[in-house]
Amino acid sequence: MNDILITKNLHKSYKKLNALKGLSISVKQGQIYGLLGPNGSGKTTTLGILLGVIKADGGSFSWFGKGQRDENRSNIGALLETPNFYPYLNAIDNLKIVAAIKSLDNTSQRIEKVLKRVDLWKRKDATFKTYSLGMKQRLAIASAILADPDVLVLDEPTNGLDPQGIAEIRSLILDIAAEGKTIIIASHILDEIEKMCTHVAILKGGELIREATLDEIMIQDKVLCIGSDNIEELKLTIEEIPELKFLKDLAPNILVSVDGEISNTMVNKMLAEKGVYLNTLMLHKKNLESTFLEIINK
Amino acid sequence: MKQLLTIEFIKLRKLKSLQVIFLIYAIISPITIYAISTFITKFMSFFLPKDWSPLAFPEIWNVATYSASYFNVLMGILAVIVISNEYTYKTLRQHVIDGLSIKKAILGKFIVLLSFSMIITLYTFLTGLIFGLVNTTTDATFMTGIDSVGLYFIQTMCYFSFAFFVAVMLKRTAVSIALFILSFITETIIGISISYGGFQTLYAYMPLNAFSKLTPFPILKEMIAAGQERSGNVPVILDTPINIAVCLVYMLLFFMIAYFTLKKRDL
Repeated sequence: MNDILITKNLHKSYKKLNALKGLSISVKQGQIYGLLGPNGSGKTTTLGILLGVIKADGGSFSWFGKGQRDENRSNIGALLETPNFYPYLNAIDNLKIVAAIKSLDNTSQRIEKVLKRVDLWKRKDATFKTYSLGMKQRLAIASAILADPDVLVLDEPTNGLDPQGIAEIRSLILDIAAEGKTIIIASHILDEIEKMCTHVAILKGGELIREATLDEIMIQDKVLCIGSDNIEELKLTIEEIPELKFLKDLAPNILVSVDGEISNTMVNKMLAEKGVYLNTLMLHKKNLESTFLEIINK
Repeated sequence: MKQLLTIEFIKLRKLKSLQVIFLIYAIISPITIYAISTFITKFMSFFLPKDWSPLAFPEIWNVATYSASYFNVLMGILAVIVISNEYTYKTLRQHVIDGLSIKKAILGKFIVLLSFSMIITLYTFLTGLIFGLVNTTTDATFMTGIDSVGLYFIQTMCYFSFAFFVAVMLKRTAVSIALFILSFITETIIGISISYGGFQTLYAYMPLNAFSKLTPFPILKEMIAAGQERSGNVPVILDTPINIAVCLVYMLLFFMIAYFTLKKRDL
């Protein structure tokens, strides 16, 4: 498969903050690639660098194997943080500006097509400032797909939307992905990444912790949900047992991770030997959240 | 070039503040020309050379461009709005994301300012031409003294370069407008203070003062001559070629600082 994007050792520091410490990732054609990490892990900085609005202090990147040319971005549809349009212009005028920047032909047909696709055609003559947040976000997506680009870059695409809006945007993204486009999504919403992505890169403190397919990421240590009459005592005891790792509270129980080789019986025995008796012990259904916590806490 | 013009035209076509400011300019600048000419002939007649007629060639060019220069602050404010809007709406950032190079984005803004200058210079030229054709009774042609119009064009670009500089440095519309206006007041206060201390020449080299002297008050030279006879402590006016050079250097400086700041800055 062709490489759509390669980054090598990207560095960026702000005044006091070291935002990116040598990030190297690669995205191949057709992947839905999730950049996952807590707030401040460097996701937006990374996308900003890749889209030309933030200057990296070191390292390099290359789109489509063509380096860092400005023209590359004409073939990338991007939505970085908030939708940015002229509030006093209507949807059509705003998209005309984008079309001119990307030197597109058949402007009117393209604009009609994308506005219908994001269901804004009826509001095409209303100015941007009269739009609801969901509509603004949809216009931003319309703008991103205006050029029918090979790559979509989306930063927190469902940020601030209501549940219906979130569902709409997600199905739209999956539709677009079904056409064989490459999509790069940054998000701290694990559920979003889990529902959409094929590949995941986990970032923490400006460093890549793990890059793999979603399936590979999910195969980690098993997660157990355990509980006892005295949770505090249980937590203290877990710290003494190297095989067990505390993940998070799940009142009234807690989640711990343990190597897949160790049976539940063994876990029970280890704790009993320390004088702690469990009232709950069950396999926790794995999702990206528990996996993510596991990886981040390692 | 055509691409940048298209982009900027779509943006500006429906910008209310632009329509309002151009309308004010179009209506009030001819009135101002008339008002200032009347003021000079009525209240300053003792300075006036013989047969001085402000609305006829060649004096009209000086009067028209001097009057029009009052609106440079207004046009400067428009320039500040047009530039800082791109920050307020984060559209400069979006343009770059969409594939425009930062260099082209800045060039687009420069073209807009150049167009503003050409439009108001042309308008002032036509207004002056009409006044002159109607009121000239001597055999003076419209070509005499027309270089004032050229100087007015340079002047508008100078003010725009300063507006560009302020807007890029401060990024926020309201703050930029406030500082843009305050700069004129501040420089005048500083300039007058140091002039009393004998530093009139330094004041002559200060940017906004130098810009304003491109279209001097119509009978300034006569007034200075009269003042010299009385007190001897008078403002220094640079020779026109030197003043033009000083202004061009400032203009270049303002544009260059803004350009390199934008190129270097994260958006």
